[in-house]
Amino acid sequence: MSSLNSVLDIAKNALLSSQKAISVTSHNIANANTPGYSRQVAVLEPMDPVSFGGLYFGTGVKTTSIARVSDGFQTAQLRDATSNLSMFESKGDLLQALEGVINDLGGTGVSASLDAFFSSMNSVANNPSSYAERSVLISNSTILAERFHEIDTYIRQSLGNLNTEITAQINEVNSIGAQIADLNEQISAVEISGVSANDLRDRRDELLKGLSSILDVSVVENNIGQVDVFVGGGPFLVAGPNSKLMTSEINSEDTDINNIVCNGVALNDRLSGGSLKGKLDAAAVLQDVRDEMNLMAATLVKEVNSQHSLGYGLDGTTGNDFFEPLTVYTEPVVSNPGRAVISGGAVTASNLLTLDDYEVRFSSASAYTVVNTDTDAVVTSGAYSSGSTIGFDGLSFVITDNTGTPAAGDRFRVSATKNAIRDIATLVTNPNKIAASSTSSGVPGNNANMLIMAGLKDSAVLDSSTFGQYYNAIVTDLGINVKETTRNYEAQKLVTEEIQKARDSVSGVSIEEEAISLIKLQRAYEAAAKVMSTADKMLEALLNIR
Amino acid sequence: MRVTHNITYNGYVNDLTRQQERLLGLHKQISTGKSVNAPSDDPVKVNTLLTSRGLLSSVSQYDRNADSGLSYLGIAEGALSRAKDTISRLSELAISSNGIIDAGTRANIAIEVNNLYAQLVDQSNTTYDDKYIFSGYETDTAAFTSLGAYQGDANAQAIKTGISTNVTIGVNGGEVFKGVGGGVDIFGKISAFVTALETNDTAGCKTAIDDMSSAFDQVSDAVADIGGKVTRLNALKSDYSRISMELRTVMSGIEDADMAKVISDMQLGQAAMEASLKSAGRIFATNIFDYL
Repeated sequence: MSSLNSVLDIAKNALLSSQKAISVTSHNIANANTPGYSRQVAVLEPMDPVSFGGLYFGTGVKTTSIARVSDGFQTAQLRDATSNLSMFESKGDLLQALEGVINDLGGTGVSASLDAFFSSMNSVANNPSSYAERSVLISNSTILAERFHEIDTYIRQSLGNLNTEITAQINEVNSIGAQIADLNEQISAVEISGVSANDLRDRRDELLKGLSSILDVSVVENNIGQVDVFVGGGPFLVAGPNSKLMTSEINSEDTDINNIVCNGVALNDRLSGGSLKGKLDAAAVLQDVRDEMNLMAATLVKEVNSQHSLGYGLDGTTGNDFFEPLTVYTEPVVSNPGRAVISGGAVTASNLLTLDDYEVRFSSASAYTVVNTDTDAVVTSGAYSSGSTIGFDGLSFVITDNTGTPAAGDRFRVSATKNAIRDIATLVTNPNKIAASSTSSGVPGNNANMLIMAGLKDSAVLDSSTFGQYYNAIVTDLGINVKETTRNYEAQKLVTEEIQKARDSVSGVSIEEEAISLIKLQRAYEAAAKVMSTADKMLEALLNIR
Repeated sequence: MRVTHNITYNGYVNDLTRQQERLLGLHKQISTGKSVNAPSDDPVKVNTLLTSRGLLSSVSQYDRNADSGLSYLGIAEGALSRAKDTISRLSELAISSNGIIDAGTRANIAIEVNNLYAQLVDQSNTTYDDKYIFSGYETDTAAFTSLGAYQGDANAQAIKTGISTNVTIGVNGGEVFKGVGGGVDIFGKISAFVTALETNDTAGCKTAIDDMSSAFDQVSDAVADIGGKVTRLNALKSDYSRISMELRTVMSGIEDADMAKVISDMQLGQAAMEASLKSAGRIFATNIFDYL
């Protein structure tokens, strides 16, 4: 059947194929810089041959499909790497900022102020009756309090911002989840007809990559081309054409950072990657540093006040606090089922304070136990009666019925250290009230009490270390944490770059390659056109036979 | 490996970023002169550094305490030396009063002794920075009345010279001039001497020789005591300066940048950066479409 018409057909198909292939090539060139774009190739196949006169004749070329050059394994690898990278990145950024705030290497931070504070106590001891030295002590203690306040403000703002950012990222996750669900639907609709939805898949992969930079995801593709996306190793965010909404909910255990909830599961402790995990990790470090600093400030207030109140000022007064005394903070746990309220937290004997945190737990509407949450020891227990004072370890408070009674499972938190770095302030304003003397008759030359106060610098009153050592440990621990995170980030960045490179090597567009294939296809097109004109001339010759 | 469009550009950007980061780090070391600029640069070193700083601050304060103690002791020593001179003159007069002299001469000596008495009261009321140095803790009260009654208390001020050591720098006037706690009541003895002179009591005048001599010894002992404390404080001060020097050496070893190394690293880094910029320029200038 090898007719001239069939040659014309072959030429026509060749022209069309080349044209299609050029169109694919130009699509590749156009998307050379599109993030997540996988290069496409026109898959050409010879058409089915026909048998004629005992011979098999080829019938030209056809374009069977436009394939997307992509490696599913690489894509998954890249997602995991991105997830870890953005975790280390966001954690590292946040911790470095905190490090900048408590970096004492400039010599102006808490440790320098602490040294200056104790030094000025020595100066008062050297010259106990002098007004000037006493004023300097007050000013140095105010500066020290100011350093604590700066750290408090920073941590408070950072945690607030983090909580807002986490909520914002949850919205982003929800938006991406909805888009993936949409694409799932479109892809399966396209592919049901047997065509590959190349560009839609690229878009979906890019969205998944974006999602994995926020939290760790696992992706499972089903047989109709739709993907199910599981987040945090547990609940699904996208199942085929449906997506779930992630929400941010008040966390009864953590008043700073909300719970990230998906499908009723709190993900905070389950996430293992992504910037959300990085932010949660950084928030935990911020909280640790704050707790440690609170303990340090509270101990300083307690120790200095206890010693100071034993001494006598130049005006003969005694029993005065040097710093504002500690405040006992009380709060109910958000999820309390009962209706009782807690109030009236007060320090009754500052020398008995343990500076640990406590929780009042109700086992029934009428019985409570108080647990020291730092040691897990039961401090006291009793029968509840509305409005009666509960006191132990130098502090007291009152629990009263409000709109109802307490219920089993109710918990109330009690802490004398909470907010210590925010509340610390010099109470003494009159330098003559500084109690340098150890006796009332020793005024003005007695400096014995001030010598003991100055000695607090070297007393191991804080977890068996001095104030300076304790603070240095906070700085060093943070330094180690930052260094570790930075190292991990750098290592992960190299890994990610390598994976990205491997992916780009397979799926990326090479301009040179495309340019050459453009020339090649152009030549093929010209050749096919030549075949057509040759066949046409042959037909013409045939028709001209008379 | 297929080298694609994005590999070339991303690779270049990543490498350039890394080089810039490195140069920035070196620049920071050069501009601050410190090799450790944040705790995470070297957490272990930073711990040593902060601990050393705390120690240095303590030692500097002890040094200032010792200085303040030394000037206090200096004033006390001066006052007691002058008191010694006064008592030494009284001894001379005690000896003269035992010579073969008449009641009129003794009465004349009594006048001088009275003057010396007043002088000694003044010396015992020496002040430093408006504080009576021999009154114990009662630094705003004169140590002695003109009648020689001690108005201070039995204490002496101390300064902090170490984590758990204090040095007493106060000299208690009660002990030195009144012999509180077992000693000679110098003012009492002088009064007795005056009485003896005025009543022409030769036995009393004889006793005065011994009395004045033990008074002299008592004040001398106090001066020697001060000398001992001054020596101790000076020894402590030289300890402090040695410790500070050692601490500074430790700190400098930890935090100071090795300039020679940093600068040569910087030059190497710059050269590498220029080379990669140049090579990138070549690569990007080459375009296949120029040849087709």
